[in-house]
Amino acid sequence: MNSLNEQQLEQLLNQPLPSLQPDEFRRDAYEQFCKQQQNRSRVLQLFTMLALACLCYVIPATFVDQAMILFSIMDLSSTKYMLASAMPILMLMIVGYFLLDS
Amino acid sequence: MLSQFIRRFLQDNDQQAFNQLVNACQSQLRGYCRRLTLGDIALADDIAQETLIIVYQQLGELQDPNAYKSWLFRIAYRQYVNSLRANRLETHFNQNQGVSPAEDDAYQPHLHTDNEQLLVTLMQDLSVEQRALITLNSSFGYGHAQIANMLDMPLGTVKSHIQRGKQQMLATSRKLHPGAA
Repeated sequence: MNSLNEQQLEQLLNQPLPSLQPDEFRRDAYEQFCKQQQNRSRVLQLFTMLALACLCYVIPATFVDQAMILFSIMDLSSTKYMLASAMPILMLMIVGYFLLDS
Repeated sequence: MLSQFIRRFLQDNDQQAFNQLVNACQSQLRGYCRRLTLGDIALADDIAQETLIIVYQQLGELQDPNAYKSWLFRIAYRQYVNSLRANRLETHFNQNQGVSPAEDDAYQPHLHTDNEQLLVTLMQDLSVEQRALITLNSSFGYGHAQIANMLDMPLGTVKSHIQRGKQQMLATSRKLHPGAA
C-alpha cells in the first residue's frame, strides 16, 4: 500500500464513524452507574453514622459531667466515667450494625 | 429531537427519554472516544460511560439543549484528559514503588473497520488535542470557531493543531508505507 496524499487523507477523515450497537454498552453503563451510586450512599451513611456518633457521645458526656458537679459525685473513677459516657455510642453502633445488616 | 428528550427527562424525570438520548448519541460518542484513546475499545467505553453518568447528573445545568452534542464531546474530552492525568500519576507511583509497567503495554487496537484501523494508526503520533480536534472537525463537521468554543481553546490554536495534526498523519503514512504518494 502506498502512502496517502492530502486528498486521500481528507477523504478518509471525512468518512462517517462506524455505527456501534448500544445494547451491551448501555447495560455496562447502567451497572457502573448503580455501582457509583451505591458507593456514594455508603460513604454518606458512614459520615452520617460518624456525625451521629459524635453527637451521641458529646451530649450525654456533657450531661454526665454536669450531673457529677450537681450531685457532687467525686468518687467515680475515670474508667467508670469513660464507660458511662461511652454507653450511647456503643448502643448506636449496635443499632447501626443491625440497620446496615438488614 | 434531542432537545425533546432532554425536556422530557428534565421536566418529567422520564428515564425512557434519557435512554433514547443515550441511544441517539452513543455511537458517535463511543467512536469519538475510540479516536481519543487510539482504538482502546475498553478504555473508550469506560470514558463514554463516565461521560454519560456526568450527563445524567448535570443535564439540568445545560442551558441550550441544542448544544447538547458539543457539551457531550466536551465532557468526554475532559474525562479522557483526567484519566490520562490519573494514569500518569499511577505510572509515576508504580515506578517509584518498583512495580512493573501495566500488562497491556503490548495492546493492539482492533477496530470496527479497516478505515478506522488505518486512521487510528495514522493518529498514533498525534497529541490528544490534535486527535480530538481533527475528529470533531473532519468526522463531525464542527467548524473551527465551534470547536474553539466547545473546548475553551483559542481559535488560532485550534487551526494550528488541526493543520499540524494532518501534516503529522501524512508523515506517519509516509513512514509506514515509504512508496510514492
